[in-house]
Amino acid sequence: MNEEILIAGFGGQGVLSMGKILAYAGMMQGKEVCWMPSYGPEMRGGTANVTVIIGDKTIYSPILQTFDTIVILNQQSLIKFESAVRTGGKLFYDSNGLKTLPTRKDISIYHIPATAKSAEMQNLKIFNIMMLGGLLEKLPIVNKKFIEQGLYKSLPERAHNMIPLNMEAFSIGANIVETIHEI
Amino acid sequence: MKRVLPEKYMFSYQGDGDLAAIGTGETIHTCNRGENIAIFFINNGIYGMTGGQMAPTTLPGMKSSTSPYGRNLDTMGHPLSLTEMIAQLHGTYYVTRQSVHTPANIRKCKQAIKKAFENQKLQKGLSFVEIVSNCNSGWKMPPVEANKWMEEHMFAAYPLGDIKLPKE
Amino acid sequence: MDSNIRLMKGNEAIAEAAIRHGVDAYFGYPITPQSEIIEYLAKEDPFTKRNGMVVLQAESEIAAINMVYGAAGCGKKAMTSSSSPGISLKQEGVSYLAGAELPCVIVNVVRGGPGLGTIQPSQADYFQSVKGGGHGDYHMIVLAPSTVQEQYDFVALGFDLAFKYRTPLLILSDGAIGQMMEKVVLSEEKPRDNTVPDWAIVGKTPNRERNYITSLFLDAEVQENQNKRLQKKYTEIRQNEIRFEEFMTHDAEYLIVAYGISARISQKVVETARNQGIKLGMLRPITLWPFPSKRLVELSQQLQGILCVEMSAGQMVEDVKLAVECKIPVKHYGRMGGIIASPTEVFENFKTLFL
Repeated sequence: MNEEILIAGFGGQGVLSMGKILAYAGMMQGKEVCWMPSYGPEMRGGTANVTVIIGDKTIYSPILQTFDTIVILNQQSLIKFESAVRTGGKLFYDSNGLKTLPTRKDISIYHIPATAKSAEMQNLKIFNIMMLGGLLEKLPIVNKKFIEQGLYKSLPERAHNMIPLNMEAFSIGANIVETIHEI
Repeated sequence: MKRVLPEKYMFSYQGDGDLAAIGTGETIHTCNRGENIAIFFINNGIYGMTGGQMAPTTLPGMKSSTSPYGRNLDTMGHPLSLTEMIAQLHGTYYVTRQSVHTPANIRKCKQAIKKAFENQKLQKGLSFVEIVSNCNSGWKMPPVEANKWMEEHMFAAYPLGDIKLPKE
Repeated sequence: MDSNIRLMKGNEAIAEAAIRHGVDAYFGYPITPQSEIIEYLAKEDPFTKRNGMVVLQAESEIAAINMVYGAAGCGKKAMTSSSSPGISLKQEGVSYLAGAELPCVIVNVVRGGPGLGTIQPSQADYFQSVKGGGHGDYHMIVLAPSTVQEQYDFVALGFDLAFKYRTPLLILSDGAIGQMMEKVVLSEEKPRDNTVPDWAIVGKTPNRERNYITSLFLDAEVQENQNKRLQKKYTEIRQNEIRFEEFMTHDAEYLIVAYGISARISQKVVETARNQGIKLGMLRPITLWPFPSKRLVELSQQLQGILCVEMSAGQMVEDVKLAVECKIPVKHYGRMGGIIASPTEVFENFKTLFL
């Protein structure tokens, strides 16, 4: 099966790079991968989203209307995409900045308080990798060791000294993910 | 547009791509014909809107996404100063280079822009105002640093001031 | 992991393919959504760091295509890339290349138009690509990649075909394939080939006749003969170079015809339809010119209808109708101006149109 994932939030939250790390990790694990960003004027400060598809089958459409899993990182994305999770699918969110919370009963819902936790650690740059840790804890589609390799591939060399910290954040993410509702 | 609506004020607002690269021919010939319009040329040394590629105005050694190791004069040519070139054309009436990085410069630039429109009103011909500018996202600098870099480097290549003044 | 397997953007794949295939020169000008091609080449700096490939940012798209004309005339493997508005600017040069029978590869990462349009993906340059674009009776071979791997592979294939037939060749991509990242298996890097084709202009030597590279034949009879030569070549290309891919067509009662990103979307539509017991298949033209008309005719015997899925107001649909001579219903579905139809949307429209 292929897992069709959407990550949606603000430009600048590391949405695209979170997707990229996931795609790299999937590729390292020998899977088929596709990373399809929304691009264009909306990238500049507005909303940004990326579709990541990982699996064992040939990937057909990188353009989708519904997804197996959606990661929501801001209010606009919650409004726009809550209904796009397929029945039985998964929705992950960070409640920071959300005025409302997801309400669907036919999907599993998980909360990852990554903004609060990364602020506590005084490093908002590790927010997205923490989200990824939480996501993969509940959706184990790629092995953790490939995430580390994915980081080496997707980060420029000057940032490689940050990888241990990123992996720590990844583990924290896996620990702080809360199940709100599971089916 | 000016030829078909001569009673209207006309101006163009252009960057270093359309004015000094793709549209070089049109710029030179518009100036040479002395069209009674005002051209405002924003020079930030880079293609800012398309993501920071090298422009004709990019300085020697300056990094951009298509000159990631700095502009190499041997393979990428020299910075093109179209403003000095068009000042030599008989068709241009007023040519000046300004900036807007301090309140004093903003005032001067306003005067230049006003003069460009006054010239047009008096049917004097073409006025050309270059405004040297920064592009902090394209230059990958915080805004204050970008202004400082502009003062130190851009003004050396593109000195501020009037280049061609009307004969009083 | 094998270092020749990489996760790449479609645009980057084209640039890396150019270096590895031993292309001699790239001339381009930045335009979204394909600027990564020239940016990647600038970063790799193959001229000083790899195999000596020339990379030059021209002052305009027109300058770039004329540089291609010059380098191609010298018998070199030259390429350029742009997106829709820039490709329109190049059309005079493309016509000259076709007229002078010069090989080259041109990449169009299509965005929404007309005019300056949008920077989002589109397939509305089909007519321009396959029906001429520039003036005169000419064709380009048009390859339409639908994966990042094909973006990579079609550079080598493109140059092989362009040189085989001495013709400009177009890789018709779009903003979606250009921007998306997929796994790419890279070929080994080839050294650049210094063989000089016998028609190239490299300075006359005493032992041969002078070579001319021109598209100007003032004598009408000579010009007609040149046209006949071109047409003979196009016939040969039609006979030998039609490429397409079929997906679940063996028992299909309905068929989607789609290329590029629309083919990827349509594969998902076919999968959904099959899950619901609807016998839908897909034909994906890989060469848009020459067009796989013959295969469509064969398939049409078993079909009740064809849906063309394109990100345009309906352009390729005309070639499909011509192919099957309107003997079965042929419909079009597509979005315009940079909007991409989702598989769900296409499937709903397929059902409305045919079931």
